[in-house]
Amino acid sequence: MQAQAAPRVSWTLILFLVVLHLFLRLTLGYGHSAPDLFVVALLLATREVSLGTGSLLGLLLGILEDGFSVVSFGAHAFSFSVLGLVSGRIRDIFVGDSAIFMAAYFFLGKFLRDLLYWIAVGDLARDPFIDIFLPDALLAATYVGLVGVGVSMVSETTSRRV
Amino acid sequence: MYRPIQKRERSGQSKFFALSSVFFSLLLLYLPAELQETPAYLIRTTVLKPFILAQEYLVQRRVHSIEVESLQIRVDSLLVVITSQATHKEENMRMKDLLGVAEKIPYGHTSSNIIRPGTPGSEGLFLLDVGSRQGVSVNAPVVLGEGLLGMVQDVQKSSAVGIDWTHFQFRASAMTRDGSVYGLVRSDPGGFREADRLLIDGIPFHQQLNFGTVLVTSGLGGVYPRGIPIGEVFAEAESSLGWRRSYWVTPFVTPGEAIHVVIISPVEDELDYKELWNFGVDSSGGSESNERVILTDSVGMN
Repeated sequence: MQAQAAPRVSWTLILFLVVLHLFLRLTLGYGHSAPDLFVVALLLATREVSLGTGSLLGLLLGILEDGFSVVSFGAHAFSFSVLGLVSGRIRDIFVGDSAIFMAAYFFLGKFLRDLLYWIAVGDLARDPFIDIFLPDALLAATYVGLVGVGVSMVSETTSRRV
Repeated sequence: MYRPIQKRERSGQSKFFALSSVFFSLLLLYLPAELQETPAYLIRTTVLKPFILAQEYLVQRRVHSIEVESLQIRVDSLLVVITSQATHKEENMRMKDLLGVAEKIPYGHTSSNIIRPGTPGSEGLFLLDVGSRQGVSVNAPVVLGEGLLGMVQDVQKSSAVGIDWTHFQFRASAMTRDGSVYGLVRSDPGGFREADRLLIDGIPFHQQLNFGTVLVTSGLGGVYPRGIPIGEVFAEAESSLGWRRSYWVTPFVTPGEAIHVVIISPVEDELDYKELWNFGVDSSGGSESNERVILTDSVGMN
């Protein structure tokens, strides 16, 4: 019988990432200069929680992000809830703890989230695909990948101490 | 303290919740625009409120720290002007009474600080720390000392959301200063956000604009009062099969520089704003924008 691995992510960390995301992007106004910590928080959480909880968490984070969307309200909610659902489904397929795996996990998660948002946002508010995804989305996904690896390493270290 | 997240569970109920979440997000996405504003407003005024307040505080501190020296110089200059022209005030008021002339700036002007959300999807949007209580209304023009910045999109009691000229929904009916050429100004996105520019379209082919020609609002659209500077022509964009011309326009106002703005109430305001921006004498509609004198703050307009 295989032993159940101890959870490595705490709700405190998820809450901290959410608050930090809003603080950096909204309060300090860094915008895209700050990494998308909502994605990091969601992808970390969905590795530990059920499919429904992950998707619901994505929905809530998306609604928060939608607070300033005048013409495309719901686009963030859609992209985050689908990301929560997808990452909850694939975590059983992609099992691994190496830094490269984690970087790829966060990179693909962020890219998928941007792609879903681009699809959902509507023709009026949508910039051309090339303008958004080459190289902006790739850079943003790489940024999230690096930050995600750092956060997950810190999270794992903290959980070991506890 | 480390509090681990609960262990995952696998059940049909979980899948049901997941699919319900996605379905609910789609429901939000396809809500009518007027219904979407209510939840967005609720989020801004509850969960996001502390972050917005903190940003307002930081913006105010930044404005104060940046502008103290500049304001001191202006105050000193104003004091000199006021002292030297103290007697003119009374004389001016008597003359106005005798001639029945109204005040230069009518009521309905509100000043506000600008806050940028900085979240994806909010490009071209800004928050204002004034609302309907201060007389701000939907579609009210937002101006800086240099000219037009944008308009108010949505108004709450003590806050408002506006769009600047980089927003894809921005449109303004424009003309040359002499009123000889009219067109519609809209935003044209660049390869990246900083490269956004304005485009004036719909100019009849037989009319031509010189580079450097200053464009102002025409007042035809019913949103922007006549005479607010928009920008100056710098290149021809295209000529569509001999029907019309369009030109690239360099805006006078860069959205990034907007920290403190003035909101005009279009309902109470029938002023010709051309008089407020002293561009010098120009009969051609023309190209001497370098000689223009700009009133660089809202104090100048009052």
